[in-house]
Amino acid sequence: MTALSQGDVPAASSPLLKTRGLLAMALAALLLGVAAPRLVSSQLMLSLATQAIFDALLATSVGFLVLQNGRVSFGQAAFFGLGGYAFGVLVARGLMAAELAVLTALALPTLVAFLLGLVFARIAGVAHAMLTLAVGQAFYEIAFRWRELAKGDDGMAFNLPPRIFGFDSSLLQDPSVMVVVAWTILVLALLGLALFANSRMGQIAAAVRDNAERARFIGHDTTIPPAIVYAISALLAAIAGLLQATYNGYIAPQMFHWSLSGSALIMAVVGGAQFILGPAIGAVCFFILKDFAGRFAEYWPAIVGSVLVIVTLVMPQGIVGLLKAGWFRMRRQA
Amino acid sequence: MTLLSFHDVHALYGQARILNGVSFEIAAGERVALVGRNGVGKTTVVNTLCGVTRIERGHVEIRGEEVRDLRRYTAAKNGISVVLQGRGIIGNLTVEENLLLGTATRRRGPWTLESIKALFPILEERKASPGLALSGGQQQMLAIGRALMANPDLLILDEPSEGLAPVIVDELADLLVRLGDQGMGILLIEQSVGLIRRVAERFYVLSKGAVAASGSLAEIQAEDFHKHITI
Repeated sequence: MTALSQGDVPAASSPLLKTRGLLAMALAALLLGVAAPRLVSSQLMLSLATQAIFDALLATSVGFLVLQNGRVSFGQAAFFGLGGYAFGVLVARGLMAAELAVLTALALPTLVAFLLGLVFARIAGVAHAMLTLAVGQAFYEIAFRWRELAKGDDGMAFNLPPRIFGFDSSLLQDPSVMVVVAWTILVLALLGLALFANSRMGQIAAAVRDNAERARFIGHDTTIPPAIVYAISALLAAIAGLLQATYNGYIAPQMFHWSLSGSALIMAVVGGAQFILGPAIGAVCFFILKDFAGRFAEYWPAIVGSVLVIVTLVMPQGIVGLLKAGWFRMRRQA
Repeated sequence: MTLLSFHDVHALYGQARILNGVSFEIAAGERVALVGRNGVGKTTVVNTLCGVTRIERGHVEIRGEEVRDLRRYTAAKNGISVVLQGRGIIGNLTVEENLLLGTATRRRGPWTLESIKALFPILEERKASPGLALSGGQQQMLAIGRALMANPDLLILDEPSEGLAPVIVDELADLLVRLGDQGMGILLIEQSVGLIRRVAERFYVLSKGAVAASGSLAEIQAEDFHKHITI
């Protein structure tokens, strides 16, 4: 096959090296997170950072759907809200131990998303976006109208039990602790997603995304892998919702609202939904921009919107895409 | 043993009938070609086997057993690998990841990642490249490699010479003959006279959705043969 041996051959990186690199980066990021409360003394800054990390988790869940399944969801807030509501309602009513409530709050949205994913995986394009929007808004309407559940549109405050998993639960409402917890979870989640994307299941899901018909011809199931991606994505959103509900001791129907899903999608696109790290970076940038614009103008959403339009036009692959392109350009010149 | 046979198959695309009673068979280790002009139904034969087109009449047998419910994965699950027109490379996955996709059915046999890379060294060299970064010939090797990863008893190739340089087509012909000699059935759906002459032992000439002639090259009238494969 001599004629087939022509052409440029890029350097190959082994999967083992790739995994080691990921683990090293994750470890460095975890150490940075642990050090953050010692480096930043302002409680306000830590609180803002905590909220930005919650957003980053939700944006990552939306971006992961785009990356692995090639699907845009306007209903991801349903799983965010479901995680928060399941925990809040179960704890507030004392229906089960807080530890079990945590597990339920994570398992329920994951299972719901998997079952919905079996259907959603067969639908693409605008129909998929509209379907997710409808499902998300259905959850919103239930939370909004069902006053007996959690006081409807007023939302519901609740107290945490004194200890959760053996730790003093009041620490979870301290920004200097929650920022470390949330950051650690975000880093581990990003690491887990990167490993999943490189796994056999992740590759099959990517093959289904790119060419479902071809994957079927090869003999792969084209429903279960995308449904697993929906489930993982919902688990991430549920973790974000659970953390936010725990941190604030409060749940409200806005946790389910489509505008939250929309914001998360914007964050993912701005950061670069084609990259695992992109949505998280987009969320942090979006948060900073929102905070900055809010200080100077009453109509800050217009400023944020204008900046987003420019960013999307200038950086179609998002911030991470731009950084990656710049990095490759530098390497070529060097 | 007969691996695959079509018996008087009539098949439809929607309401349009494309196959009008196609019958053929291929046994283990045989190298058979389905030939014919554009639009005579060659690809529809593959699409029928994979459940893309609906059978109106007739039936398909795999290893002598009639298969009623033909689905996209039926061929793969029954040890038949199909290399479709256009190759179907998953562009965003690397060469190695594309190859590993071929192990969906988990059939055991001589073909492994290592043996495929030994057969096509370029795939080892470019294992970390995205599938679509390969040249046409390299993509064809990747598509064949992925199909072999399933350790099939029968390999079906639809227009494999399309877009390939003559030197690559020659190498492809050598490879298919070698695979046939090793006991694998080869069903070649093709218009390239050079390739089918070098690879196939028997021919089925398709015309207007039916088999117009069949047999070895010596048995088919040269006039018939060329009339039906001239583009």
